[in-house]
Amino acid sequence: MTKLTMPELSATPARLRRSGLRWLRRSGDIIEARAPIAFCYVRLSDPRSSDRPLPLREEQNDLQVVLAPSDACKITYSEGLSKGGYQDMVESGDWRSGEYVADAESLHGSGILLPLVLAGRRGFENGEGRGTLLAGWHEKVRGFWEGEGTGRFGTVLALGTCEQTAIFRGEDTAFLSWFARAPGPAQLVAVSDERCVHSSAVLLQHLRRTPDEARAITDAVYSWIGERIGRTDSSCFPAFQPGSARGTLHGRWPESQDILFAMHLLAEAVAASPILERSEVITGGGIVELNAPDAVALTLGSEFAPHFRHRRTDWIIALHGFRFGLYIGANFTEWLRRDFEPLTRTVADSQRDLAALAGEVKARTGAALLVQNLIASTAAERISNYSWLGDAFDASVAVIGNEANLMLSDLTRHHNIAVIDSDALAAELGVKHCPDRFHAARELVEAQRDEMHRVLREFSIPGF
Amino acid sequence: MRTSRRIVRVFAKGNVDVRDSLLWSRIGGVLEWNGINEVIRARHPGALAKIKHETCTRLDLIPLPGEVSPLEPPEEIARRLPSGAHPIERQQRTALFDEPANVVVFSLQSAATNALVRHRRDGWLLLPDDFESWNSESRSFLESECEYAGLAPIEATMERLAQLIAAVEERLGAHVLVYNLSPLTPGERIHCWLGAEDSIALRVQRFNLRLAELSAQLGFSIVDVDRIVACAGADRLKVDLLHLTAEGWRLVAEEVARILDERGCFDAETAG
Repeated sequence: MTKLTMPELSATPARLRRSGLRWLRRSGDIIEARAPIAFCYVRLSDPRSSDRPLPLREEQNDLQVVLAPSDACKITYSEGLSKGGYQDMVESGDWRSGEYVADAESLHGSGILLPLVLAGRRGFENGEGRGTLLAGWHEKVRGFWEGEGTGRFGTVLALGTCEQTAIFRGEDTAFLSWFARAPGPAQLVAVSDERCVHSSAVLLQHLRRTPDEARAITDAVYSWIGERIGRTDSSCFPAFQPGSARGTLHGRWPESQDILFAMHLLAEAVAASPILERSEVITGGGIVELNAPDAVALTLGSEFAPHFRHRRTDWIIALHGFRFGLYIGANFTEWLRRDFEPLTRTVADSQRDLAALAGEVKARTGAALLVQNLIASTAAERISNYSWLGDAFDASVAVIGNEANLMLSDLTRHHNIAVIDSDALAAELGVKHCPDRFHAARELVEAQRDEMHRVLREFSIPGF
Repeated sequence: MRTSRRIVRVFAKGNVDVRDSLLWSRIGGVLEWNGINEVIRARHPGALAKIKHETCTRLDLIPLPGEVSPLEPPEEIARRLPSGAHPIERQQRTALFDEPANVVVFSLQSAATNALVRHRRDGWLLLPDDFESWNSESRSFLESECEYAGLAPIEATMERLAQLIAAVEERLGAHVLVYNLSPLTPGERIHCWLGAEDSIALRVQRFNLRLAELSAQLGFSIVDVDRIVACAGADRLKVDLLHLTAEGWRLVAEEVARILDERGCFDAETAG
């Protein structure tokens, strides 16, 4: 029997405090190597109250440490170690390296547990969503682990759409699949596309944005919000209308959603580009500051999301079509119609912007772009005679998908770009694993993750 | 009034893909798939496809009616060198326009994959089929007299295909079906083409895309082998770049039958 103990983690000079442990597996379970058994919340505090900014200060409210044995074993633990309730969600004691956690049978390696640190930066800081791994809505999430590797951390940034969320965050949404396979030290960063889709046009403009342009975009958004507020009268509050006096289904103030969405778009546009953001990680030896990401993962699907350009400021945004109506209200849509113009993007536009983005990123940080191509085949679209499409030929998914995939392959000849060939993987396994071309079943996601990992290793990204 | 037996005459100009899907697929002497009539019998009792198959050295070498290729090897060379499945004297000829047909089937396979050699002095072209089995004398001749002429250029191939389709429609009044190709080679994974020529997979994708464009212009039907393989999964249907499993050939034959249906090829003819 081996004692499983808490690993070394230090934020010196800040104190590292933790909540009680919440078990992820039952006592008596057989655990695979690097499979999580428990997690806790952690928080940094500076006892000296110095002027020095607290590390990871934007992620303090959602910092978690996941613990896993380095080798396969059978664990047994005392239920008393977890106090349950909110004790396992709020910090109540200091992090103590070497503290006993559980017993392990048949463990061949060290009893010191491996830590995976999860950090979520909330889109809205007050938006509490505690309970499970990386619960709640975050504009950016990270997972980092020293593992048993040596050398510097390698960082991969995922900026793609939902199919990439599945690959990087996984079904557990907490990077556990990568923690299990990449030796470390490694870091994965995922920035969601709930606000703006990260096409090459959007990212390139963000990278090149000047303070004056940021100011102009801010003015444009503030001006529209001011306009909305100016139009507000007593009829805009359905919760307080006479019909609501004895009960109502109008729970939310409708106006708020449009304004919040505009503010979130603005907040992303005038904040640092994730491609340039450095990061801090907690290690056994203290806080380490890491450079901007070594590789940036994108999806070709982002290129063809609906794009809009603000007429006065040239600000480009890209929004998934499915977000209109259900997520984005009529007032915001009206603003888009009035102050923005739709930007029809062709494969050639995407080629130009991806090439420019690769050049810009290479010059600024040296990172490579890993672009997941489109799954061009669908079981639904069977076309045996393309003349029947008439003018719709150029817009057909099969045509655009194949054209775009070929364009992407050609870009790899001259730019710092690699293709993650999702199209080939889907065709190998059968597109029934991805009937809508974007949301893949587990087997295909696993194959895509394997391919992404293979390419990261070919690019010699440290820790992977 | 009685309904006559409907016979659809199909001229299939292609190699393993059209033969194994439309006629038969044999592996190690065992019949794995018995051709499109298996499908037609089930869907249209009394109907039958009569398939005439001719191998295709390369799509861009198929002559138009009345055309004689200036790039044919001399008879003496045709007699002297081994031929494999592509007899040298027939490599740049066709019986396509010799007999009536209701349907003509072409395939991109030869254009995407077959590389030719060119005689250094006289410029004639040939496909050294099954070269590994050639004797040393024939190999020496080829190596000393000929040079690598490469794969078919995409644009020239598509231009020739467009001419052939026009000729088929004019001379035979037949429906034209063209097989595209699944680009997948099981296990092959490329993420960067820096300094590399197109892989066969990439080349096939270019051909497939151009074929769709040509279909949009000319209105012929594509037998979308790429989609058929992608839907069921290459792991299940593909043996290698060119060969499918029996299930794969059956699915291709079913798609051909579906297109023939779509084109009205099995509409009953009535006789008094």
